[in-house]
Amino acid sequence: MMLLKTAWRNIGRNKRRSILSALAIGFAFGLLVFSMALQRGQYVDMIQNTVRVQTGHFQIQKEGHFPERLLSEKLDPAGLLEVVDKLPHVTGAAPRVTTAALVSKGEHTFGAAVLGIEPEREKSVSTLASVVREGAFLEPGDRDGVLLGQTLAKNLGAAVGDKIVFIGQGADGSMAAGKLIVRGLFKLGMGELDRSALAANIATVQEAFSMAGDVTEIAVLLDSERRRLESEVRIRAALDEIGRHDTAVLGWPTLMPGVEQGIKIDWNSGLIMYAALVLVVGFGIANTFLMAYMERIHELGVLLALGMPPRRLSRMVYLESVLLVGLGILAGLAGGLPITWYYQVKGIDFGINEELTAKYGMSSIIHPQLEPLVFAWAGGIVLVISLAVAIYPALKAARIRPVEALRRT
Amino acid sequence: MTIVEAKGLVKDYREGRTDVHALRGVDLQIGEGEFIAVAGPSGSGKTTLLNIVSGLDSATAGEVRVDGEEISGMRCADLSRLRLHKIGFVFQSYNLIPVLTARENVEFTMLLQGVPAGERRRRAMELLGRVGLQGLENRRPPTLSGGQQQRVAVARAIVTRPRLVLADEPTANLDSETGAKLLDLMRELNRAENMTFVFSTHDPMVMDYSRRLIRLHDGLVASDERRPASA
Ligand SMILES: Nc1ncnc2c1ncn2[C@@H]1O[C@H](COP(=O)(O)OP(=O)(O)OP(=O)(O)O)[C@@H](O)[C@H]1O
Ligand SMILES: [Mg+2]
Repeated sequence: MMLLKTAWRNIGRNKRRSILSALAIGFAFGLLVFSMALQRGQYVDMIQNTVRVQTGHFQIQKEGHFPERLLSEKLDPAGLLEVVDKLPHVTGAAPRVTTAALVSKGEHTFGAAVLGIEPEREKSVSTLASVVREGAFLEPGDRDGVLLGQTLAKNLGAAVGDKIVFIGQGADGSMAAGKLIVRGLFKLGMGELDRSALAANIATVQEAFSMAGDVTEIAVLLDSERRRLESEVRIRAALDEIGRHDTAVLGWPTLMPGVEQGIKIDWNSGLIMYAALVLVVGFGIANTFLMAYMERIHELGVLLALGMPPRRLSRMVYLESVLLVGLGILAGLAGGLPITWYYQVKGIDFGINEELTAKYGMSSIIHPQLEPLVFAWAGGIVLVISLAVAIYPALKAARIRPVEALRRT
Repeated sequence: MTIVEAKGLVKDYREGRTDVHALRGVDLQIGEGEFIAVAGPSGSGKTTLLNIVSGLDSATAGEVRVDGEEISGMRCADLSRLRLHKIGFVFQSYNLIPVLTARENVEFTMLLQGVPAGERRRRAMELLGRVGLQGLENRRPPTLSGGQQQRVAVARAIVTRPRLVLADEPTANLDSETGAKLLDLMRELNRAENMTFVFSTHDPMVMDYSRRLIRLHDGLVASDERRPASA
């Protein structure tokens, strides 16, 4: 207890220096919390984009459909939607048939990603209905209508009201072909999709591709990504209960491994950068710790002369640094938390132009996310580095030779 | 029983290019319960001798045994244990811990020894009273006069009742009355608890109090005389 008191008073001795180093630590910590939260916010945005534009939080597919996505591995949707709709946190579920085909108009032919949807249900899962820029969204009973990605339409030279033809291969290996009338053009804001996707009524696609009422997937949207894992477990149990062992429940990270990997790589390279940044701050701190030690070498010699075991002296010197680091982290929390929280609520507009946001599928306004992970990593990096640099003076203290120290004043 | 035994103690310091011979072959036996003054002109090696006996410094040659243990080759940790449990040291320049109050300074060695807080406090307060510092317990050393600091330093050295107290000029900054009171206290501890005291001093009063007077000169023992108990 007296050690703590002594350490505490020693910190109070050179107040300005102590405050400055605590602030340096605090600033590093606060900055880390903010930038990490910002990164997490970006990921939330990316995930939301993936989930809303493409996969849903998870999908129910026929076991074995993924990853080849062969049409022959198709899912009988009978009774499934009723089960899914009843589960907690589910905000929407949409059956789909996704496949590939060639589309052409006149001279032009392009490869396309075909999406068969139930218009009303699709609205509860994806943003498709809200991004129709020309014409209108599909009507439920419209068997001849098709929506085209804006870029695809441009490439084909197709406008609303034009006819296009498609050709592909059905679930049974037969040829699938048909004629559709363009009802609208959409712009999802993801270059790849706007260049290749087309959407038609699910019944149309089922018929053309010999799906006999089956689907390739049911996309499910939840109220929050945080509920995904528990929901996957719950849906799995519900499916087993009705005997649908032929189904597979696949989360978006499985369906879109690129997105998850991108997040991981970005996060990890971020961590390395942060560690480097904190290391720089750490050298500054190390210098302060060392100065505080050198100034008191005489006094530390006295403690040893009085019979303080060298190890205990070491611990006392270390304790001072620990207290300082603790103060710094508290200061960082006090400063960083409200600022980050403010922006988490309000969002930061980065004013990124639409071109870029379209290309990478992100939005211009980011809401930083104060997740536990952020505190764990920011705290971990700052603690490890600052406590590591504090080891040096503490070790030196144990090596002091009392007489030599006593002669210094 | 012998508590300190030194044989052929030599201490050379390198000062730039020249060697300073601080001790040049000191033999010394100190029995338990002795009350000794080490006198000698400035630079004769008094502080050096006390430092070596306490294990703060190591001799260039020779042997030192404290309470039967040879300390020349001891590890730092063992030396600090020896100092903590057997030796009280009063420095010529007090060396109090500036961030601690007078009472906390006196408590410090007891703290290291693991004496419970209540007892620590009681013993520190009692001793501070006896060295005439009641009322100043909560002052920090920089706010005390040299003489007051010296008394805190003495209190710190004797509060744990060590077997051996080494005091480097403990009365140098005290007026004769306070000095005499301090010496009385130490004499009492010497008699009642058989604690051994070794002082270095220039002060004739301390020499008068002592039962044995060792004079150093140029790093050698010039004379070593026992004196009859006064009064
Ligand atoms: N660390 C050191 N480095 C170099 N020389 C030293 C050192 N310590 C002491 N000396 C020298 O050793 C000799 C003995 O010094 P010491 O301090 O033991 O004398 P002293 O008898 O205590 O003197 P004083 O009465 O002034 O305190 C002196 O010549 C001093 O200059
Ligand atoms: Mg001296």
